[in-house]
Amino acid sequence: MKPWTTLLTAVALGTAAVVLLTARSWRIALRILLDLLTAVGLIRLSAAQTWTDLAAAAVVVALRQLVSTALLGSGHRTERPGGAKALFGTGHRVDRPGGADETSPGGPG
Amino acid sequence: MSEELLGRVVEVLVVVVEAVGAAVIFVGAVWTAGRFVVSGLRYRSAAVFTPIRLSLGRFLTLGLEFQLAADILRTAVSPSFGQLGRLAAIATIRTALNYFLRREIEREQRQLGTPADAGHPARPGPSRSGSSGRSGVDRR
Repeated sequence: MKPWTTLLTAVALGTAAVVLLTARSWRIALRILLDLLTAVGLIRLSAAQTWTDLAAAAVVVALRQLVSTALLGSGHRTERPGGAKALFGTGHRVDRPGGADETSPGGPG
Repeated sequence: MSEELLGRVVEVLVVVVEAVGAAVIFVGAVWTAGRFVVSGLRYRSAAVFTPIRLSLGRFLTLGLEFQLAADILRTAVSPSFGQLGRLAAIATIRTALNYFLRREIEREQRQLGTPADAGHPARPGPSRSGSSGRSGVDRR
């Protein structure tokens, strides 16, 4: 199982690097890296035999959630190819191409 | 004798179901990583990544469902309290992660304005967000 998780970790790092270079947004690159590392953690969890393996996998998953919430939770605007703007985070505010700006009353979740 | 046979059958089933779950997660991660790279190079825009992240989240939740099923099966053949405790810990982590992933998917779907059941992993992301006729605002 270990070669597969190592391979996937390398793929995650490479993908995050490409996203960082193309989108020029460290937040999106970090989010994608954390998502892919979550997948690695889940696969590692399948092979967890000892309490140490289990704790390691749990820490990776918990860390991912923590960083995702604390660091990236505020959300920020990104441009869609068609011109519309959307938030890449937890915000609910959406800008329409025509200029109308709507905000939802409820919070996230 | 029949109890021993049942134990072996369950053990094989556990391995098969767990392997399917791990395979779904692995294939989903590799496939979406490829899409991240292709979309990043093609569009060079940050917004195209959100639908792909949703696809990855769906792959992860599907794989987690399989792995949780394997955990439930495993309770049938776990003879000691030590094994049951470890099983409970794994099931708790997976259930919590499943919950957070689902919440994240729903939240981002609301931002994109796509219905909750419309997300097939094989569907390309950017065209979905662009062609959807629904409002991108949560009105609840």
